[in-house]
Amino acid sequence: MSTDQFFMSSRLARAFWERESVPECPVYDMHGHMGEHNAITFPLAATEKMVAHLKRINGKLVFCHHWALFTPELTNADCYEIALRHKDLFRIYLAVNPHYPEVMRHDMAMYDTWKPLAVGFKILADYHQVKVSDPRYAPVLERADDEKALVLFHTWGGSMFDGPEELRKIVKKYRNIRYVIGHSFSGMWDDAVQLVRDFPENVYLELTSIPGRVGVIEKLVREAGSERILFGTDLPWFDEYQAVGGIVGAGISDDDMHNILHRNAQNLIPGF
Amino acid sequence: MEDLTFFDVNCQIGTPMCGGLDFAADAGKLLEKLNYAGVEKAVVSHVNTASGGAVLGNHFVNRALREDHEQRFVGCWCILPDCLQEEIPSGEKLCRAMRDNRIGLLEICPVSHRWVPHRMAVGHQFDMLAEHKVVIKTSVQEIGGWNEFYRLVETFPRNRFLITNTNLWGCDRYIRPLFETTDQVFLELSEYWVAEGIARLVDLYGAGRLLYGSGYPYWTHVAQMMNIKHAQISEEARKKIAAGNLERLLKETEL
Repeated sequence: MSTDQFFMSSRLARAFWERESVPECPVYDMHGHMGEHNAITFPLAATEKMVAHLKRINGKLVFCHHWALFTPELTNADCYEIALRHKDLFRIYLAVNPHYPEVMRHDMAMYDTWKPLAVGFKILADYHQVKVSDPRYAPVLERADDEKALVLFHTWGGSMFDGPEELRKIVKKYRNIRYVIGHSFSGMWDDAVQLVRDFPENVYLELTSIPGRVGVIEKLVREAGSERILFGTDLPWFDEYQAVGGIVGAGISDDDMHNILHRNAQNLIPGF
Repeated sequence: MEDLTFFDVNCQIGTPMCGGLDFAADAGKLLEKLNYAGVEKAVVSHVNTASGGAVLGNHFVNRALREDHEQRFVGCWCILPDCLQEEIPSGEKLCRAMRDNRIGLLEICPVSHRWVPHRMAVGHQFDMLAEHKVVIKTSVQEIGGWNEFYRLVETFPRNRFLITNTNLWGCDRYIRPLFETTDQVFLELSEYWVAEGIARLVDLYGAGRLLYGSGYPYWTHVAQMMNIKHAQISEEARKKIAAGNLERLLKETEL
């Protein structure tokens, strides 16, 4: 019986199978959360448990606390404090909630102070039910554009708030932002590829909830290029090992795997 | 991958109704997929059984089994209430037919196939399957949601049920009460991605109720294999989840 072809054909796949971490291939998770989220049971939600998990896989995480996105009662300042305690492992996106412009103004005023641990912003338009092209986001997008900052957008195929048509409007307008297209417009893969092709300088497809879907990693690598793809898991939603398995088990080269798992992120966040 | 053997309990063959980026139209293609991932064996059902019906789905499963000369597939037929008399063996004949055709598990799709898994519909049938310790597989979607699965388990406490395709958002709050209450429910892991969730379930309930499943052709084989490989559990637990539990359940099935 001829088995284990993925395992035999890829040095990196073999290394991840045999060891919990691979020194030459750190795992940069560009789409993380943080802390307890009691609407769901997470065994790994506590910060120290996430730290242990990341250390086990030789990982680093750029996160935005779910509660900071849901309500200003938990603030970006709290996220900064967490990142400060684990500078080697964490960077943060500042949560942007368009329903609280005064909080947005305050946090933008703090952005310089919180750099370099703060690397950009996160916009969760589907949940806040405000389209990404809505003027309420403009102050943040203008600031991100000036700073050439990262902005992680939760996106979803078919969404009227953060689907491909909405994102395209702002990508055309703000040309310096480095766009992290969270979930890569889940399901609308052709639109994701086209956005990268049209804006190859600053649009990156992010993979949360995608590794393990049959054929998708292969398609995105083939049509958008692995240089434009970032790894992510929504940690503590999804396990890093499941997602790494989805990458190294896809029919792509080791070079593509390195790009996705760490090189692209390292280029975007120097010194991390 | 000689250190760990995988036996996939949730693998589908056939050409999906809505297409797909990749799928296995025939046995040869599915064997290639298993070889690529290093999966030893698979329980095989048909990808269009829910949408196209049990009878034709079972027919295609039989064809796949005939084409599998290496005997690495175990078949999974879909059943309906006996009273419908739809070319699916009924009563004790079903168990004999399963044995004669290399069928190890049965699945039900009550939502798509428009019937109610109530004692009035399948009481005698399920009692007979309980006697034979036949595992009945169903997905959360096909049973009509977790509430309906709870009702099924409560109605048929002696039957063995495998719940599959539990949705990517964690299902701990649905599955743990079942594990607390009965040892007749088993969880297929293709969509159980909760970070370090497998280790937590093993800590709480042991490894005996968790089964590796790929969910192919929607999910790849390798992703969840890697998760199981690096879960912080004992090697004994890992082997049970990867293949041992399924082998035990099939061995205990009396056909």
